[in-house]
Amino acid sequence: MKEFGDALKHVSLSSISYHVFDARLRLESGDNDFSRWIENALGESELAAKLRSLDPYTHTEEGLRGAMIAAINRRLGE
Amino acid sequence: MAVGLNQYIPVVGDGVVNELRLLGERLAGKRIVNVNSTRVGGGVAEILTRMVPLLRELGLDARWEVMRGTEDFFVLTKNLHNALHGRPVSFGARDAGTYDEVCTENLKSLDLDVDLAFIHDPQPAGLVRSRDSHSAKWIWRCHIDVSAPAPGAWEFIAPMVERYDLSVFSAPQFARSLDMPQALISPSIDPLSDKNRELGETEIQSILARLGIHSEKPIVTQVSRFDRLKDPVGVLHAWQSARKRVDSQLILAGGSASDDPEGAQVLKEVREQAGDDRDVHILDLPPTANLEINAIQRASQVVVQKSIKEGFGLTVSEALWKKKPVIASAVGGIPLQITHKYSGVLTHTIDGTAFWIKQLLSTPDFARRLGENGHHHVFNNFLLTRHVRDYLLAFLFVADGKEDIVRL
Repeated sequence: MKEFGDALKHVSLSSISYHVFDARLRLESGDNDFSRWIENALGESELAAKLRSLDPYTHTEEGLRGAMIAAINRRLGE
Repeated sequence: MAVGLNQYIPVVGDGVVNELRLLGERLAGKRIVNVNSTRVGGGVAEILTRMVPLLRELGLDARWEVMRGTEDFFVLTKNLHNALHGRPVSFGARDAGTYDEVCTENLKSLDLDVDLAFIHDPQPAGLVRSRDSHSAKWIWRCHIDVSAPAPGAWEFIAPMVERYDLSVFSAPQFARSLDMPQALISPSIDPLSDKNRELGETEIQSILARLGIHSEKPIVTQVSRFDRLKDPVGVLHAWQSARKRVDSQLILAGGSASDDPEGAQVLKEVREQAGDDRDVHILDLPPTANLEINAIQRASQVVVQKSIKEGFGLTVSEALWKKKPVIASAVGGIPLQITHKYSGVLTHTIDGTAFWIKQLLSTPDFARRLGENGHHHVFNNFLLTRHVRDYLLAFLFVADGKEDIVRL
């Protein structure tokens, strides 16, 4: 999870946009690639729910990056 | 001086640079020739000077060729430039003949054995006539405002433009009714160039002193070629009106481009109107005066861009990047850069420009906030890295057979 959080700091905004916005259409479930992976691969249901609940339309893309990193850091700090 | 891609990381972050490298890999070795009509002077030459080395660093075999023209040809293309901006000019068979001759002559020496020919603005648009002799794809990049051309102007170049695979415009209102796909790509500024990089206060003052400018009074500046479409006389009148209430000095800094025969005439008119006012500085600078422009913009309290027509208005983004409050005409691509009273001010008249010069000089806190918002807006939208990305995507689109989705 730490590596994921670190990677989020360096990927392009297009990448974030693709895995959050495009994913909602692709997955057709209101989910996004990040929350799905965090739940299925890491078993972190609460964190996944938190990421899923972020409304991508009320954040800028940089804001979304920051909100996801903050949520991951809070979980790591527990 | 070439600046490498990694030097942009502290400005835009490694995510942006990594994305460019990813796209570059998909275009590795592709031969691309850019053709325009001047090596120095004007926004197109400025962008190509920075962009071509970056494309090469990304692995593209990118070149830049400049078409050569006769004096008659450049007079014609200046008339065409004005006519595309709405000034009535008629074109006859003789003009078509002049244009054809110059294109034909250039085709004898231009190496167009490439994958992509990227042709900038109307001057070289006619080179596409040679497309059947090569396998290249052709992209026409229009940098100017063609939203309201004079009758006959668009018709002069449309038959040439129609032969391209893709056309690119800077703003939605410039797009034309054309059969091929069109892309909307704004131009950009290079944050690391001499025109835009950080300058120390000592360096700024030293440059100003060399230009004969002292900064005891606030400075209002317009940086633009001496061209009627930039309305330097209008700026002078607006400033004169504002100066009745708030004291300041005016800098009109510009130069000429080698493809613009009218510049000297406009400069003469401006000097006549200014008379011997010691608070007006009219600087005819060479196209290489990037540090000087940088220093002048940084030393200014207010920057003006009172264009009558504008394709994009790179000087607006340059000033916003330096956190300067900008008063600009609501024309062309300028409203893409300024949200009125948030990241700058948009005006429509000499009186409006005069009002806002007075206002911003009198309320420096508000002016500072406009500048900071403007800087942030340029960071998000108008830096060279975004521009390179958009061109790479356009190249991929054309190279990949113009599919809607290109899977990387």
